[in-house]
Amino acid sequence: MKFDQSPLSEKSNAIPAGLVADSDEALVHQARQGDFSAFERLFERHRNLVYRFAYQMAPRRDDAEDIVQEVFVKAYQNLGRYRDEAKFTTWLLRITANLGTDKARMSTRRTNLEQKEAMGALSWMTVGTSTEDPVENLEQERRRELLRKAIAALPEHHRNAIVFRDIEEMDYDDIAEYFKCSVGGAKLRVLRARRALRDRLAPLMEGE
Amino acid sequence: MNQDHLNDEQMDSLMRQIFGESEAGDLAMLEGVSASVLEQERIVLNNLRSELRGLKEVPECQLSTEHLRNAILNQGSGSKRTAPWTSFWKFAVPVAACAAIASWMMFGPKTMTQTGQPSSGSIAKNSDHVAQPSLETAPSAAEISKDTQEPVASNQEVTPPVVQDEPEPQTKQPVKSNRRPRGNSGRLASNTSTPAVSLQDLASSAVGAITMGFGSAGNATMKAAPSSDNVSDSANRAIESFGGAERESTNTDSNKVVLVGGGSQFDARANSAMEVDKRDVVFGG
Repeated sequence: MKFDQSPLSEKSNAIPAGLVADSDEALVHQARQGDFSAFERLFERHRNLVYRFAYQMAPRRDDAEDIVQEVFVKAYQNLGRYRDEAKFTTWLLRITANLGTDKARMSTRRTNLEQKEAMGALSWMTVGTSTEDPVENLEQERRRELLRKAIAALPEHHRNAIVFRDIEEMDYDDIAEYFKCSVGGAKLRVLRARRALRDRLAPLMEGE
Repeated sequence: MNQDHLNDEQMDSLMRQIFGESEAGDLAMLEGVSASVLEQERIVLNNLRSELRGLKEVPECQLSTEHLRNAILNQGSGSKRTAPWTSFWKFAVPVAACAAIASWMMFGPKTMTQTGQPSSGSIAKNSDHVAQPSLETAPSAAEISKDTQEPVASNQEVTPPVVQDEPEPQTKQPVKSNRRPRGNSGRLASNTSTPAVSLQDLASSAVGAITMGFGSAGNATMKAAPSSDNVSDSANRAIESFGGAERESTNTDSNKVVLVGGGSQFDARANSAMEVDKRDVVFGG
């Protein structure tokens, strides 16, 4: 499918030499030439990654989906600016972090308000259930909520380090690429972020 | 002696162990730490790790490609590039406006303060208001001749005009043209400063116009002139009642009149003129 509003003028749709077919870079190249189906494949491939990252910042489905949509619209509009030296996912996550910060702040505020009203009794129903025991599910959801709040309260670089390494289980190479630092530097950032999170959570977790 | 708490380095070593990233020397780092403290910290960190992994479970993203396509179509591709001249005009218009305001600030108020008068534009408007009534109310040559003839008629004898040693204040004023001002603020200022034109001035200007052979006021007076004799008498008196300096200079040549012809001299770029005895000239239309 050819999209009318292509980010760049139509050129040859052939994949240039050196790019693996169906790789992110090849799809980006095709999308730059106006092939929207290539961009749709990129969207389907990385939608969940962006969504999970957005959800950690704005723990509401609607807000997270709004962020995902904005991220991919922004990515499509700025495909010409994407440089192939960085991974496409890293570029997407950077856009997500930039777009999601303000939205996450509003979303957290709204969520707190709603949870005060509904007492959070039914929030576990929207999240995947690990056990059949409703009481256990509620307790697990309460702990997750505490953890999300603690993560949200961290500085942005600490929060991103935790999300990338301990939630998304990304390689240190990719984390280093995101932070534009060495692998050792990325490891150090993750350690500091864990220590900061532990300091916030320890009083709560020791009591259980 | 066993430690009852972990320092930062020991905490990092323990974290690396729990999160599966242990390095050489981590075990040695934790030697000497109390077992109970280590055990308690292991529990905390294990819980943290498992809870963090559990955060990966999020509700399913229900954003479809159709949503994305519509969003992109609504917001546009964003790759529209503006023409270079657009950015030029974006800056040129405010700069031009600022320059216009600055020039007005520099030159507009300056003329006000220097001359103590309004700017030339407002003077032109004001001078129209001032000059126009003077022209409208200017008496015709017949009226002028009446005024100037009144003493003559009352005395019933023609007496030569008396030349006064001290000229009247009115005669000291320069003769003003009845022409409409042309935006010269200095001339306009003098015009506007004396809005009322004296009768003597009008008479002299009328005579001047007659002798020069041009001028709208002169034409008007010539058309309205009742007879050539009256006009000649009044003109003579008017000529003799010119300003002091003028009078002094013309006293010796009081019988001379300069006739300005219609033809022009090429060298002087002015109308050709000829000085003749005024007794040889018949005034009137």
